Amino acid sequence: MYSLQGNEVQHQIAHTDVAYIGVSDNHRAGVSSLNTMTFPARYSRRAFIGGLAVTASGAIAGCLGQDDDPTVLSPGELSPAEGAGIPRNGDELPSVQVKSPLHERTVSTDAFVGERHVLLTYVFTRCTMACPLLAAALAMVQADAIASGYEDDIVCMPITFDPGYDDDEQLRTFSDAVGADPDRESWHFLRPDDPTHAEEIVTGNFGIEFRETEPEDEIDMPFMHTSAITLANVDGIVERTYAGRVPETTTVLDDTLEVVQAFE
Amino acid sequence: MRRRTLIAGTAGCLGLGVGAWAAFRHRPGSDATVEPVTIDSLWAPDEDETLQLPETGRVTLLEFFATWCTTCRSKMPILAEVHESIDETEVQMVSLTFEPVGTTVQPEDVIDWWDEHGGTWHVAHDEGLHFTRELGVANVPTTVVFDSENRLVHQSVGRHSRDELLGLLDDAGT
Repeated sequence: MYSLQGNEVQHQIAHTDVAYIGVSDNHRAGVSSLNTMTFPARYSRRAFIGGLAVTASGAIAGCLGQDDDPTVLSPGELSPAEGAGIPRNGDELPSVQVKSPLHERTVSTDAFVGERHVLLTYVFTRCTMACPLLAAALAMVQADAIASGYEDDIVCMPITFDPGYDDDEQLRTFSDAVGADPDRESWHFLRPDDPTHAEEIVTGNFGIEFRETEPEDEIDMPFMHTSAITLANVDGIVERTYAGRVPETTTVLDDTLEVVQAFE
Repeated sequence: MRRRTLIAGTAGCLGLGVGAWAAFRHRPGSDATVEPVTIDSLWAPDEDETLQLPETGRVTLLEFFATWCTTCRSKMPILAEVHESIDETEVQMVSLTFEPVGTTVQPEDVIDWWDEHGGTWHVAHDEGLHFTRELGVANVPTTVVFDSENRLVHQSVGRHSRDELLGLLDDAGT
């Protein structure tokens, strides 16, 4: 496994023989009672609550007024890897402009605020360890969203920090391999302009440490990095960053579903 | 230097894994049994394409995999050797993928991968992610063994040798 000095425990890679087991980070005490209410499409729960506070009776407004938590999920159990720079429950989603090559345009990481819940992960396509698992977790959400009819409510945004290697073909091949459909609007594989830009965005804005290595053999990875997935709600507020280890396979999907349902 | 770091990190992760069992619904060594579920094979070695998983009366070797997983790919020849060595009246052997088969991954893609890598036993899709969720799977390959009464007796991640896998089946009562 690798370890970096600093405030981050790094992506734990055990070559191919032993990997790691994620700890359930779920705090699913139940979906908010607001889930049973019907909200207009593309209408944030916070905005809806705010509107109610103005127009509804004092009793209702008073009750809802206590709900000033901008997130659906609880903060969750913080892992040792969650450093100060990683956005966490309640933080605003960092806003940065990055190219989305397969869609031939530049998007902002907060471009979908008010429209879609956002899932980000930080990968390089040459990675054969954690990165496919991280991207596959997002692909699983995309696939479920397509199958279950909420695709317009989510967008998955893997970000590569290996822009020199990850050309359009690599981004597409990697996306296809992990089960994503990269041509859909629900999948934007983001690529910074160069390594400096990658560091500015991935480390500077999202607190994800990565470092290029000098592989000694073919199974050594050319980067070591923090394994992380960030889930932000449609209001652009981070619900959770799963950092330091790959979460249980169904955790990201289940948590995303909980957020989607809470905003319906 | 880096190797030592790797070993230390492995130990840390294994420690984490031990703690993680408490969070899982099923854990090895408990007397709780897993309720069998009927699933359809994506590919079957015979005409029996419907499975009871795990099957009461036989030890079950369940292998979680993904077609993008390089370790899963390299483990296939070992699994094939195990399949050749077992008595299938005593052992049920199934590989299961949690990939989004039927949506963005086509069944033919999995079957092609299976054929290319020499799979000769049942392979199926974990539809609804039932077993993935119940067993708290976080990585692939993940190896799971149930005894003949459907108790979870082993769960681990990564590569194993043929002898290690056969030993796990022996420990489960074959």
